[in-house]
Amino acid sequence: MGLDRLVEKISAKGFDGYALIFIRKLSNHVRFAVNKISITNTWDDATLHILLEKEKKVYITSLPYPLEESEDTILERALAALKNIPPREDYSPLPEPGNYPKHPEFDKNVVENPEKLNEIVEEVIDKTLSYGAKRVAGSLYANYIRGRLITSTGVDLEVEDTNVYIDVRAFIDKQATGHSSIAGRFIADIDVDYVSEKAAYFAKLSANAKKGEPGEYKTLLTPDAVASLFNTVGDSISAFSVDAGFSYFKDKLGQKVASEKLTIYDVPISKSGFIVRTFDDEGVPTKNKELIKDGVLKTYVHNRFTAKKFNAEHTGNAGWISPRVWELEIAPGELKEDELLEFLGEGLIVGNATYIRFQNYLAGTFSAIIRDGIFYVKNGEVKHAVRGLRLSDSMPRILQNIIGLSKERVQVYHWWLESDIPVIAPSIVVEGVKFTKAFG
Amino acid sequence: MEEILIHAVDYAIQKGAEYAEARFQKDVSNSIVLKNGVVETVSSSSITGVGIRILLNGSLAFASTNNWRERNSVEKVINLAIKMARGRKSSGIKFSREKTIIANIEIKPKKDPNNFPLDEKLLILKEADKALSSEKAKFPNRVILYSEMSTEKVFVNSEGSVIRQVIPRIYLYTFFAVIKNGRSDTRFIELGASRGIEALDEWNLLEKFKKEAEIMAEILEAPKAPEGVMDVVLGPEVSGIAVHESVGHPFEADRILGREGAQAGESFVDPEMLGKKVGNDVFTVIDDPTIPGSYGFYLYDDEGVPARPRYLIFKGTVNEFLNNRETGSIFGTGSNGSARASRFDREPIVRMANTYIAPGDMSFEELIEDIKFGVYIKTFGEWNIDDLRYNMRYIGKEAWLIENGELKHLVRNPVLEITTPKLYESIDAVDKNLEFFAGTCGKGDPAQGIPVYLGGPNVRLRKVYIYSG
Repeated sequence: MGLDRLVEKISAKGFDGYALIFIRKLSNHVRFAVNKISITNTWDDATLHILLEKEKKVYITSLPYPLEESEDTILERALAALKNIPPREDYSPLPEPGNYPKHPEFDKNVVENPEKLNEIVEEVIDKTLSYGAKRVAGSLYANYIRGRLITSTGVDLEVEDTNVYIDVRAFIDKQATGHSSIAGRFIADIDVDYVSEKAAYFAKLSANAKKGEPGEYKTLLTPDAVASLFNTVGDSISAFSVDAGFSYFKDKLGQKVASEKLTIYDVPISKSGFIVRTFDDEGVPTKNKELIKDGVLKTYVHNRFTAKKFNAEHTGNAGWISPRVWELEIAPGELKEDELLEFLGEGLIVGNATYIRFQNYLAGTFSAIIRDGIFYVKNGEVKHAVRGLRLSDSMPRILQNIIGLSKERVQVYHWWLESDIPVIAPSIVVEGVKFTKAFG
Repeated sequence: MEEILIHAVDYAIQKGAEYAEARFQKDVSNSIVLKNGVVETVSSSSITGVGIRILLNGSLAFASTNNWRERNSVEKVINLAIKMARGRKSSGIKFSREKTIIANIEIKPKKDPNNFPLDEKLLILKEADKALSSEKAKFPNRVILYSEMSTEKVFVNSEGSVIRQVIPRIYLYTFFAVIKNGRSDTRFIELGASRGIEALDEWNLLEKFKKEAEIMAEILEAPKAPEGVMDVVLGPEVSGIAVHESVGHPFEADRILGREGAQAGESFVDPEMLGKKVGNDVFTVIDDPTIPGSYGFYLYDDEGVPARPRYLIFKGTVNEFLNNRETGSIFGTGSNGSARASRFDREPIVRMANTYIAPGDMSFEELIEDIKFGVYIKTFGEWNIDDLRYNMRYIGKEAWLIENGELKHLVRNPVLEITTPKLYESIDAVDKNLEFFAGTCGKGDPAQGIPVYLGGPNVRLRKVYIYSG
């Protein structure tokens, strides 16, 4: 790879610091709808991200690799830009190398035999139909990533990783739908029977829905719905979001922001993690850590700039522009799967949540589209499916009103997670969640 | 470059594809992030490569690489695409027949961003940031994201089309928070155009942002919106998002046919709705990629089909859907040039471009003169719509109480939560003040954000329910 020559040229041009991230990604994807494969995608992509510093000024460029311009052209353009950029008040130098955790095993076979994905999808379609669905749609991805990080402080790290995910949506008709997904690291993680049966089961249970009445309900959020809603927790806990005003955790550090039943971790290192990161984009070793402990906000996540600005420790969550949570893990509760409905007593089950939009980011007021299994429960039993409601509440209120979490958890990652953060999610029961309905 | 694309198409056909197309796409952008008045990031990027799509035995396969200069690399991904298309049951996909096109289009900005000094851009953004202030409240959080982009696309297919298009774009996303006496609110504003730096001059940023800041400060002290059934007027920003979400999306033929089922969703619209009356004669909705300078501008889509205005609803009647070559074949209408791909490594799918309600002749004063009691929702914050595009919600930001035909005072958080058919049938008048707003429309899997305009005039809805949020 020609990165060594680029490093030499950067040094010769008089930059004070640099970081390079090279990423090669091979991916295969099968997309299906209406009981057939819509398209397959095959991607072979290589990108080089370059960060250059001079006199506390920072310039970033991302380019296809192999480079299409000479190194000199790229670096001269950076120097010209740096002349006109003011120094960063929150500047902090690139970190020194650290002690890095071991990267868990991965499975390069995920991209070695792409036709296998066709077979899996065809089996999922057949099985979901055999379980009673009328139509089935979804997506299956298999990704292989090879990366390298080099910095002017002596960091030189390489990594290889793989992940896979499938999501399946079953239909009885346009309104009666069920969803299931699996996110993992190995092709063997894809359990065809599980995703097919689950999606079909909830689609069938969603048939003959009655119009829902707006109001406040004790609500059981399934792991899919929890993952969508808690992506906004991941977003709000980034110090960049806090500084920008995009966060309902602004000025809440050390305060009780949720029910004492809620503990959340950032888990970049896990044998089964969909996203595994042993170092961040600035070369800082990552670590698993508490974000919210017994309802108290313990930390924001930081890169070098936000850490300086907030007078806080670097948390190993650097993106060059904005720090980010790698993967959220919600600590399990005590409710067994078969106790959830009894615990709920009377209320609603929400199978999935999408299209989360905030009216006020600081207050955390928002609404979300709910789908893929909304059920009314009374005396601990599902009475009927419900349609036409929208979850319209505030995230701080939902977090404070959590009254129970399941023991069992699922790793959730799929297309409509608002911020692309995988979540290890239990089912969560929340008191008094607000729902509205449309006029007409 | 054309040579490698022609080779890619020939190679795919030689390997057994019935149809093949190759698209080179180079998206170059320069961006600036200003946070709380401080320049935080200056960056540039180039996303460049070749995407090849083949149709083989009724099955579609797409492959891409950014190592497009190397024939071997291109051939390697084509081989994989062929393998993927062969190794499965036929999906029965056919493409509509379309004309062969040879074209070369390059839109040149009046003020080329590449020749405009960075320090002057920074100055413009800093001044704009300063305008986000008012003596009436605090504005502790402000983000301005500026991007200038150039997209070059070269399209070649096995039917002989060769089309090159170069389109510049400029985009400004602004977000700010306002706080007073323990009460807060947030607001985002999106501006965009297929133009150069001249767009920044024409947007009158200082005046626009100052006005927005003053209004947001006043809203904090405004009374809550009234609740109940009343007449409502939607400003162009709100009528634009409403028809984007509740006409444009459900009229996408791929959604109607179920192709987006697992992701963005299907549509409440059925093919049988073509020709049905769904609204009053004043209600015409157009999606037009050919508007010069518009953010969603293009002249040929990413299947090489010429763009044209699509009259989705004409005088209250469902007139046509948005089609690509696959859906155009199923409906027997052919494509109406609606296939777009956001990057070289994305398949073209059915998309909107610039969707808007056609304006009428009335003035704003005439539009509200007979409203005894109602609300004017000029701008919005929170919005969403279900995946059938049937159940939508918009919460006003700048909103006014209307009494006896006049705007009386600001009101806080009016919520319009309404079904799409009810929205269509409630529109009884539109004024002549057509305005467009920029947006990035999301759809597809993997996700494809594409530039669009959303627009309309002020639109009057009779007797709809307003909640107070």
